[in-house]
Amino acid sequence: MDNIDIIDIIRRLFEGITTLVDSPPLLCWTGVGLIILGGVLVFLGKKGVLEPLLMIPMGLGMIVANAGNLYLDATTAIESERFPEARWINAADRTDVRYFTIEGSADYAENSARPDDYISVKSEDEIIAFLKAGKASIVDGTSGETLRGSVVLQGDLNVEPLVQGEENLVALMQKDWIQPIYNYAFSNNLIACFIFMGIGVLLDVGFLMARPFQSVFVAFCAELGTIVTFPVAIACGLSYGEAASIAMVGGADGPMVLFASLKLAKELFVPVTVVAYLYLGITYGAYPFLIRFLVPESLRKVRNKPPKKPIKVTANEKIAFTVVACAVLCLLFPVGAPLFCSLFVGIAVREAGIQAFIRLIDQVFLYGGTFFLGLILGLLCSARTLLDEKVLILLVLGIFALTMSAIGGIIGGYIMYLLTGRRFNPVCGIAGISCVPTCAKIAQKEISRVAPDVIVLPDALGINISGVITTAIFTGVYIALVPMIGG
Amino acid sequence: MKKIPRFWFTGTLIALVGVVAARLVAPELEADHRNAHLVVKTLGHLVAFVGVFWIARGISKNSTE
Repeated sequence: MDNIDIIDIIRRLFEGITTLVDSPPLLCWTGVGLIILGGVLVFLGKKGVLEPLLMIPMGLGMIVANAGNLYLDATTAIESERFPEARWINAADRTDVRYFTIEGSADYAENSARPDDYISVKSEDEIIAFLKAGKASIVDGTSGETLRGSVVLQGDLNVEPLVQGEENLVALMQKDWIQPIYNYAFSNNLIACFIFMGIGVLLDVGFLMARPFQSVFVAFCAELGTIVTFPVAIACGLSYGEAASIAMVGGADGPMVLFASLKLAKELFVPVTVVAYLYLGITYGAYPFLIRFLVPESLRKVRNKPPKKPIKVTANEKIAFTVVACAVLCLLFPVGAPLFCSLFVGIAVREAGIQAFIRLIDQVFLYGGTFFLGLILGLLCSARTLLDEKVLILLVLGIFALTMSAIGGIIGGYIMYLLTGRRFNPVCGIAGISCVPTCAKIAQKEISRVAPDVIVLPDALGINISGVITTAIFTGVYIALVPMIGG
Repeated sequence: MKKIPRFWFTGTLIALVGVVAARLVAPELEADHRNAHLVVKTLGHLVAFVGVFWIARGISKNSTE
């Protein structure tokens, strides 16, 4: 057996390494970087620096998505609908890699002028034929020499997110292990709704109803990032749907970012959602510094005006309010009805005291949904998905949205401070960011650092809960608005 | 049967008026009166939120009495 056969066997045995090495340098190094990042996420999740429920499955999924690549067989390559991305690799020089450009396509004129990088074909059928043959000989445009090579498409057996054809979807569900969960629970927003049900079960709307004006007002102010990021994103060149999706990061609610981006910008939902969840993990550490920068210590010690009498909202009142609010919001924004239904059914179940449902939603739906959300997001984080020129813009806009929302919340806090005659702690404004109950706890923690006897948690929780509802409203507004304005 | 406080009816009615304005009246104006359509739609949404807020405010005041 000669050396070339042995090398070929070794290449086939360790295809994960082969595909990485054979990839264009940018793709290769991005893949390596994502494998390392996945490990870092798992480590930080274990240490508790980032949310472990999400980061551990996400980190491992990220590692698998980038390390577990192989050359797809022709049938799977066609079913993945990515066969136009197939590459021709020169048998004699594996650094000589060329892509295909199809006559009549938008970039054909530009690509066909680069024969060292692109091979011109008349139709997609030619690419399919090359893939089925596995090899192709081409005439080099520069030297006129006939070159032999193999035609391959790199992929994985995890999930293909953008497949449209029904037959291809059914075929892939038998080949890609997480594809059924993705199709039947992720891409239709079922997982986002399960998580939202879990959030509803955790919420006590009594805190909101104890101080409704204060809660709603500050929560709306905390949507500043959601509002201002939209025009900024459009100015950066994103479409209306993409701009709305990244603007929703300012609402700081992962399921709603997922819901909005799947509806409005399906091709970018992976980077948008990954950016959202990563930043949400980081902001928990960053928001305290922002609070200390924006609110002087003297104001952080302010005690909130207590109610004249203790406020006790009965379970019947909470359920009745839930029914009315759910009906009104669904009537106004039917596109957001799945989210409203999920949130309010969780609240209703909690207030009705149905323990079996509370356990089901809290333990099975919430934790199961969170687990699969993290795992699928990680598996979708392959280098080829994230190497989109828009990802850098998303990274910047995401942090801009979250920062502006925090600033908006603090501004709302300051306005309430003035409206109440200086009897409202401005730090409570940060609770308008709808990470329940984390942002409320951040507010209390920062106040306790300078004034341990000042308790604002009930007020902060009311604002926090209101933040969830206002973010859901903004999700409904964007989903209704964007198709109207042509996004 | 315990008497239902009035704010439930008032708030629900206000919210439904807002919904009717936003979802029934505003679409009728879209073809010929675009500006009026936008105004009615926006006001309708705001009135609906006011209705829900009215109920929340009523519950809060009722709970302190």
